[in-house]
Amino acid sequence: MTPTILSVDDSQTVRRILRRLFSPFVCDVCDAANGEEGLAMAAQRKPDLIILDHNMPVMDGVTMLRRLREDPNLKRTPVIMLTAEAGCENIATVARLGVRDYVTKPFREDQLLAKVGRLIPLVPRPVDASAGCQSP
Amino acid sequence: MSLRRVSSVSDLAQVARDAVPAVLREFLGLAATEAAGADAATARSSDVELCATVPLAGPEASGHVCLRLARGFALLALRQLHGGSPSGSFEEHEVRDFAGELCNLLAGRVAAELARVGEVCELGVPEVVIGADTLVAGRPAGGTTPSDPSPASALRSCTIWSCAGHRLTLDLRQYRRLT
Repeated sequence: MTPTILSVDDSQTVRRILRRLFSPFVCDVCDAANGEEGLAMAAQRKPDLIILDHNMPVMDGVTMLRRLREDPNLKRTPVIMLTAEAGCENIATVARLGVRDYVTKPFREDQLLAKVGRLIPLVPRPVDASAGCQSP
Repeated sequence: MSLRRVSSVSDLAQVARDAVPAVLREFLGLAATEAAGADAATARSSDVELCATVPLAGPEASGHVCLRLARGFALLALRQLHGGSPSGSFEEHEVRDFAGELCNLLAGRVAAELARVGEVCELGVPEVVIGADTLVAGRPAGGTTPSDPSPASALRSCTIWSCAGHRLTLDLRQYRRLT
């Protein structure tokens, strides 16, 4: 079954980087620009993994994470938190909310792929398959 | 250079010197060198410039990280990020978004360095405007606004950088709350 990755980040630049990063793999990538949109997308798509930015307008990553943990259908979804801030307090807060891993931006793509690969299967797309990532 | 605390303009400049080359190298794979001298300070880019600002807020101090960059640099960087296609074109909102994200990354590095010396602060969300002479007093994280600073409690460092043939300016401002 094709895994679904939900990326939630207010930066279109980052969302585009993540789509490109996962395009060589068999996976569906959907994205959202803030926590509120992220919750709606998560409820609709039931992702296998969420890559979540910490600092966003409308609803930030920590608030979205708390809401996820309150939803019986989504509370077990693994989350990797992305942030430009590397403070220990932030790490402790999100660790208590069950974040599976934490990545400081700018991230190394190989490191993020390794972290994702520990949570969901990343199977390379066949070479003759159409390029690009599937999206809704 | 390892700071013990940020207490002077030169300390703040050192924060910039640690942050800018590292972020540009890690994010874009580009080398940045600090420009110096009167020419650097007075030279104006002929390209349209963008100004991105990220506010900082903490229990002891607040401030801003303000990045000015030419539109041409943003386009070059976007091509670098998205597969390096030289013919790739980008819409204006993508250019602005990139400027905001680069400023966000620099602000994160600045905040990390400040936290290392005990000055914890949170980042607000980036604001981007067109024009080099604009500082956006964005709303910091937590919804609070910085106190009006007195000159004695304000530090400002402005460093100018050369990267891939373009000039970037990083303007760091820290307002320390009076006790």
